[in-house]
Amino acid sequence: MKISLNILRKFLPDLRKSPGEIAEALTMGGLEVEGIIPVRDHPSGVTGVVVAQVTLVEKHPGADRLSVCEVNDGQVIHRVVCGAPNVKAGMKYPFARIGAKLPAGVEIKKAKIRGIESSGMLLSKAELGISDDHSGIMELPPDTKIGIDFNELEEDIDVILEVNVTPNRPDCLNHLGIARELSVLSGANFVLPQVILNEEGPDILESARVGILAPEACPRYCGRVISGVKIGESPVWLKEDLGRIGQRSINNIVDVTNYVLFLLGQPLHAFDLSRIQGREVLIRESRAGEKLVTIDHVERELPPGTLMISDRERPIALAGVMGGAETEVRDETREVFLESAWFNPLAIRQSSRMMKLASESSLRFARGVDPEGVALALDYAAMLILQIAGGKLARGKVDSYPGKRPGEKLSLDLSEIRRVLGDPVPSEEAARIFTSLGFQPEKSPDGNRIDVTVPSFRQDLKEPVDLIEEIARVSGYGKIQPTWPELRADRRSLSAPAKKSVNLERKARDLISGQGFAQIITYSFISPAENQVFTADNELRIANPLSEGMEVMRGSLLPGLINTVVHNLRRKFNDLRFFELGRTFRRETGKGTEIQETNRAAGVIARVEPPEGWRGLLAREFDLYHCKGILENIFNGLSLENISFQEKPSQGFEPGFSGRIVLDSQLEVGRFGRIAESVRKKYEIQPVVFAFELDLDTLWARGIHSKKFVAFPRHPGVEWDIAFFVDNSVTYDEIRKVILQSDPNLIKDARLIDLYRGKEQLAVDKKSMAFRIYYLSPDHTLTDEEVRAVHRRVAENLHQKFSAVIRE
Amino acid sequence: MDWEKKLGELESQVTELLAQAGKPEDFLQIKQRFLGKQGEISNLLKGIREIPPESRPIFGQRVNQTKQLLEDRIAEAARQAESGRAPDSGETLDLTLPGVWNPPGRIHPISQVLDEIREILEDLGFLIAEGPEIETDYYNFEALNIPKGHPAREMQDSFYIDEEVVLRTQTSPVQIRVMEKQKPPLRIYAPGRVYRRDMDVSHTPMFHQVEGLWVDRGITFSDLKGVLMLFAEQLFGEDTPVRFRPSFFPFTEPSAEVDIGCRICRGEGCRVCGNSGWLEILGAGMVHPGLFRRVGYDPAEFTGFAFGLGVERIAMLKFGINDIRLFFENDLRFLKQF
Repeated sequence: MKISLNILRKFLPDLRKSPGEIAEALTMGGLEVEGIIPVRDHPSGVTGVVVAQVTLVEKHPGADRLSVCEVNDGQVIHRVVCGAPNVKAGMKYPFARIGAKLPAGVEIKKAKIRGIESSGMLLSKAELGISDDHSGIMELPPDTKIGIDFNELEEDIDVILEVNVTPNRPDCLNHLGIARELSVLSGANFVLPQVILNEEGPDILESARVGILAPEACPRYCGRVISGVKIGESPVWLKEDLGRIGQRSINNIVDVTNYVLFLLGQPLHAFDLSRIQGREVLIRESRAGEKLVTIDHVERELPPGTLMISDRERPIALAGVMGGAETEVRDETREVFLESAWFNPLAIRQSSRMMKLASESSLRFARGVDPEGVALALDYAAMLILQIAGGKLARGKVDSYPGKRPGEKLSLDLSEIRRVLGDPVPSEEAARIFTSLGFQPEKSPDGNRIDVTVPSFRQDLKEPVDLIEEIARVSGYGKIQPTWPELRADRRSLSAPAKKSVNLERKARDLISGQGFAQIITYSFISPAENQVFTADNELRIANPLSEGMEVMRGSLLPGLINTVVHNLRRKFNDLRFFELGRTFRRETGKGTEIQETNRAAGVIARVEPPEGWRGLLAREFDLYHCKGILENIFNGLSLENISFQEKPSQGFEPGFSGRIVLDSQLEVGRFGRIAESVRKKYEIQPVVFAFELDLDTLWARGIHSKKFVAFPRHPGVEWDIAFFVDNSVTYDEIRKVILQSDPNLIKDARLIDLYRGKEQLAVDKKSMAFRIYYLSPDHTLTDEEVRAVHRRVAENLHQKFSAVIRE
Repeated sequence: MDWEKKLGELESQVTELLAQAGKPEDFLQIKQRFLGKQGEISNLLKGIREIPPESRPIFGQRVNQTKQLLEDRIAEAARQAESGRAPDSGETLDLTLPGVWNPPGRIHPISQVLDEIREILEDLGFLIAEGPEIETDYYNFEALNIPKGHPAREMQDSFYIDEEVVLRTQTSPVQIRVMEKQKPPLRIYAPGRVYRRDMDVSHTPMFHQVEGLWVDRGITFSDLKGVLMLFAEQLFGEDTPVRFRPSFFPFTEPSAEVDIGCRICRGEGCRVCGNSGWLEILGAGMVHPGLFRRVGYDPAEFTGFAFGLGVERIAMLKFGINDIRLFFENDLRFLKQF
């Protein structure tokens, strides 16, 4: 909300604070000033005007109203004849030298005025084209430098405050409201504008009739009629004032209604009375099938029950939201019906929502305007119209007020102030604040309570605690002393289930990032097409997505990761490891609208070419076992044993190069593998991409055991190798099991140290493997003979079970 | 003592050969020539019978030592060569050369700031709570004093799944969920993703919030000030000026916004703080009695305060980031800096 300090001062004539101080006072009172914007509009088309000081003023010998002045423009002293009443010696004014140009092409020439030559001219704001003010010449501050060009003058014509008005304070969506608050917060005197009206026309009842058919939705309706107006451009001051608070000038009548809206907060509407059928204004709810062309020239169907204004025949305005095109004020309008009403906020919210239409008016009505301010705004607007557009005002006004209500009473228990704020506030101080806010406080006889009457413009005050806030706000939050409450340990809340899963998630994060992954965060919404790449679940659509590509809640973290790979490949990064922790979403099938959220961790690796460094190369390309190794580190770090990797296709992954991760041989906790060729093509990704996605909720639900120490013997063990040929179909896991079981007492470990197949001397269906077996006895150092015996048994078992051919 | 001389010779021969070697075959050849079954060392050992018996133990020991030494040297040289470069000799040591690159792990800046916030709050005795990101209209609005048609709904343009289901616009619904299940005293914080329909340099349709709630007998606005001052000082430094100013949230009364002195201009006024010298970091207030009534707490018995902050905003202030959208673009040039 833009607030002009010039306009504000109309209500606060003795306000002496600087713009900065005003902003500070408002901000600390709850009306945050987000910007202070000086208006330094320089007159256009002005040249040759400088700052000059009048050094001498004498009466013109030939004319009472004129003076002869000596003017110092920093170079020479000029003799100038001046007619302004406010010219004084010692003061500084804008001065037009001979040859200076003023707006509208006026050039200053030497002139003889009543016999005395005048070499230049002292200027008013009107002559400079800054405003309509030609009551006198423009006074400049005493510290202004003599001789500088007027166009370089840093003079603020006005200052605009950007005020952030919170939704609970609709009374402050205008200058009057802000001024009233500023008066409370700064102590400056607040005065309402004077309205003097000349009712020269016929009685209003002869010109128009008003009927409220929906008193619930329209508790008050006022109107006036002005005939003989002349529609035209607004005067400069009105255009400028509107412009500064961000409004466009339309014509003099519409500008007045707009101006009063921002001045007093009351939305007004001006109808062309001659176009109102039967000169009858009805406030009623719409009937089925009624239509209205609004002033934006859109034909709108009114849903039945919409609050609107109609004449005898048809709708003429969408009450409180927008006027109709048919009855709007136009160039040929001569007779104006001016509406000022109080519509029920609920009714306006409903029509605004149903019609998908909002305006400065509807915004204010929806939040609540002051029902007691309706008539004042009407009269003020009428006065301005008479001033600006001429015409005659009909005698009297319509003021139909079926919904008048007495002021709301609230009662505050004074001990509550301390209970909520912590600091006691003396009852005198509370009463003083309430008085300044216009609450008419009354202390109860026992002195324990204060009763207040809420003013009609403060519809936000509903409970005693709202009054406590008023006290805190006006006396200042800064005055309240900080304290620190006692902490009590609470076992019940310490065992919050979220704590465990969040800690585990952080552990998972460290385990993944510790392997060179960069954490990313992507939006939770993606395109349906992307979503389908990695999941077959029912998609969860957003009814009102922000844009294309953000229509569904993600069913997998992988699309975000793939997109990040694409983004960074384009930026020439060639070694990519990303992971994300976050939730995925799906609609539970068969459970209606039940929505399932799952915490997941997912990662992706891709390498275009090994990163080059001065020391040479890293491994050429990632493969499936890199991916598996990363997962094994995660599971080890989380003390999760009993994890197996099973080949099983999964959406978006390459069949035969991917699988599922299974816990305790039955619980599926994730998937991993190579991203499908087709997906890479679709995303135009060159390198092979490997990915994994884990279901953290299932992992945490199963429970993570704490780590257990296993004692190890102090004497050394020995490592013996065994190499053999075996059928391709025999898996590593099967072989390793047979080795370990050959002597569970002495064999502690068996590591695969070599694997190859498809070499010349090897049959196609065979592979060569080598294991390094770790022998260790719990109670003594093993001799070669002992080891040899077991090692031989291993060889025999491998031969027996798998027909392995042991190599020398 | 010929064998000792011989050992010395072998050693220098190996050193010489290694200096010329480059390809893996070279190293294999050297290894075989000196350490293989028919190699120099083996041959030397075969001559043990010509050694006087009393010198034999020493001889064995020395030969084995040399064998080990040569093995190590060849292996080391081979390893060096494999990584693309001859062993660095003392004269060419250049410590300005970059270290060998290892893929470094990165924690997203939002995650880092969340950690920091979490630690401070946990030190202050707050316990974590969580709630769904897809909420019902009741928890996200109604229970927080924002009935349908309330002007405060305009403050947060929301994403809807259907009429009754909304992507949470704030973490505040977690307050209600926890209070429904638990009686005071209560001291919780709730971090998480929230969603609003907005996108420009200072808004993204998704961002992170942290919500805090403390309910007990005798909790006051003074306590709110004390606790949040500590929080702001911990987050931004102990000499950070903190101020509280009135504001409006439907679910707190009185409500406050908390500002810290601008970190860029130190209160002088600059572009970042809009010339005010202050930066807003969080919203707070005393829990509105309406919420207590709704969850079955007696507002005459309990009071409490709640606060909420945007994690991206804090991160932007801390790191000097000027476009919030960078957080979700996940460009490595951005991520690498944290």
